Amino acid sequence: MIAIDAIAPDIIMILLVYYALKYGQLYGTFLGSIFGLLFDIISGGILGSAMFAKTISGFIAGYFYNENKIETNISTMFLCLLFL
Amino acid sequence: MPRFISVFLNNFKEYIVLVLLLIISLSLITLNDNHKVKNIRLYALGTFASVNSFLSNLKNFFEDRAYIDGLLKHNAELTLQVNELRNYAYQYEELHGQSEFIKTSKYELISARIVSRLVSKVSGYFIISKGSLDGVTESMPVITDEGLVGIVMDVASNYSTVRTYENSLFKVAVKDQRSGVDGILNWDGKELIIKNVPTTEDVEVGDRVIVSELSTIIPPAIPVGIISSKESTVSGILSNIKVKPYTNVNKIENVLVVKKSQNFQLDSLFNKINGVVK
Repeated sequence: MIAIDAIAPDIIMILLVYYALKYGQLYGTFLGSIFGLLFDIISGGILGSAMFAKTISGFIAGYFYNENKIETNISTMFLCLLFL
Repeated sequence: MPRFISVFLNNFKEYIVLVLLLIISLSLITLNDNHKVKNIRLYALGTFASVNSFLSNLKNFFEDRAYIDGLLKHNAELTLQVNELRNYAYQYEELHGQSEFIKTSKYELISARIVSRLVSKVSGYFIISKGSLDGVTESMPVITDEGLVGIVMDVASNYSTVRTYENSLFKVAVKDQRSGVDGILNWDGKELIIKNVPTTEDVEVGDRVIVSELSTIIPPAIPVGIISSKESTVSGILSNIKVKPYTNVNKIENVLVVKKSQNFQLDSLFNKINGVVK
């Protein structure tokens, strides 16, 4: 969709980080595992590899869940960029 | 105790969920070769592909698909044609060089095309389009206008097998054209190398290497390559010399077989010497 020299943004990761920061760590962990599993099934790669990575990503992103931090939009954006 | 468990679960639920999900994902990784898992994946992949195709068709609903397909086919045909013409151009250059070489060469040469090649870094062989009916016999050297390529090993009526220099069994007596230092050239799996040349010998990087008069199979003075490096062995007395060949056996398409004139006098002398040795 959007790519510069075959380098494309990870849309799944953007969504995952967004929801994890918005709804919390537990939600992020679950969502990461579901996204990862679906990606594994669709991509035809090693089943469980993306699930493993996305689960950890969701967990770490959710670690920064905090109502006060959500209000600081700049830091949220920075975190999103960091995970990308 | 139940209270403790509930407090524990409540405090560490994120970590417990994480560990459980990671265990599930790791066990899925180990189950990748399972037939049931493979079937599920195939089914999911098929479903995804059909959905994707449907969406793609929906997107291209207003496009003239038949016209685009026709253009794509035409484009592919033109690409193939261009490739073919480019190939002819390369072959023309190669054959032109060879025909000039044949005119000036003192040896009788048989022009042949490479039909098939065995891609291997240790035992390089290829099959050429000339055989015994064309006058090719075993142990005839195979060259290009640039230099040595290999030796004919087996001959059928219309085809022959050539052992290229990229073969660990390939050995040929060579010499440094400038200083005349002799050595045995062979393939070590990566490059052509002349082993155990005394370090005191006058061999320099950049010197041309040609077939030596000591070779009984290949006519002397056929160019082989150029010395690319010289490395001393551990003892420091001997050195290994790496040779960069003039010809690239992986790129050539046409070769020349050197038809050896049977030198019966020389053969009889060799036989006499062998008889004396025995």
